[in-house]
Amino acid sequence: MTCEACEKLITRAVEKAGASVKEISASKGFAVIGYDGDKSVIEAAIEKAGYSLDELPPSTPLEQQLSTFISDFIAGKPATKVLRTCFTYSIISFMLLAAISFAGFASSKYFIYVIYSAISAVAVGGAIALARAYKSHFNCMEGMMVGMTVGMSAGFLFGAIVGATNGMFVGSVFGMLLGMALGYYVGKACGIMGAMEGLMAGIMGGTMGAMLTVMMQFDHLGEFMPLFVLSNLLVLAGLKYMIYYYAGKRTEAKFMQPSSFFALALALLALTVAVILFAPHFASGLAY
Amino acid sequence: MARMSFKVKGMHCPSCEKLLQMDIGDIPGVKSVKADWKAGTVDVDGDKIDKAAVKKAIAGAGYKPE
Repeated sequence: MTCEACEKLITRAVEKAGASVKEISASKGFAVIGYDGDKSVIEAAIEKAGYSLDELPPSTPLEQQLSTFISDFIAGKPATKVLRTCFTYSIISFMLLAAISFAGFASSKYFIYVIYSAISAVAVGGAIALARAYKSHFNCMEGMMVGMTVGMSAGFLFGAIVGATNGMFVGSVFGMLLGMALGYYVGKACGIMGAMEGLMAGIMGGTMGAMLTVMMQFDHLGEFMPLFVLSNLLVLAGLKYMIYYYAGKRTEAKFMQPSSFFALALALLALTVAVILFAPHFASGLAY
Repeated sequence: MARMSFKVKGMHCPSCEKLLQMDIGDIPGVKSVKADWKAGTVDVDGDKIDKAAVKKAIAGAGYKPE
């Protein structure tokens, strides 16, 4: 189904077969059909109208969906191919970025923040790459969610890291601009609503991330940062699952080349490290 | 058998063609309907076709007849 005409054609085919359409959405690619009698007659009518159909299982709780997904992911089922590619590239890219960080910054006082930057670069880069692969297949709600999550998480992570190393002003400006740029880039896939959502999330995440680490500098920032980074990773992992669950079931996508993926993560890391090293350091505290 | 041709705005895919062909095909006297979404045209063949009924069917399907 691609449009309203498809919805009408299927509705008519179903009604001619003696059933009724309770709900139908071309953008989501599903229809809820009420029927008494022979299901195969309805299926044949829909196929005769020029559409193929897969029956969805009865609505399952999210925990069960996730459990099934994890089993499929581990078993390497074809449906999870794009996500597995993203995961593999992420692990390899992180190992390379960690090695580069270790070689260049092992003795630096900023080392741990460079590592946080590498983790963030890979996690955010993975979300961007996945969103890019499915960019033509998001409906409005999905596009808004993608723009918001990427903008907010990127702003939070990079704002918090630079806030901790350079102070609130530089952290806020960097986190906000990066969050807005990335949120806009992925959100625009679904038009102005997604782009706006990405921009607003970037402002919020960037400024709040920097504020958070500056305010916590004398109160267990060192213990908080791993939890904070992990929490954002969890949210980004959820986003990747969401993309797989919705857009991934509607279409097949081509993931970017490994070299492009690594270049994206490396660019995010290099940009952050350059800001940490060369931007002004306006405050003093545990992290500076 | 007479032929009527209509310019139709709003068609954008083969589903639009099918929908119009189905709706116009139900009008009494219509023998065949050929919609072309790329050209934005609908050709109707038949006897004693009510032009207003065809336009009404096009509008009813969500398109704009000219």
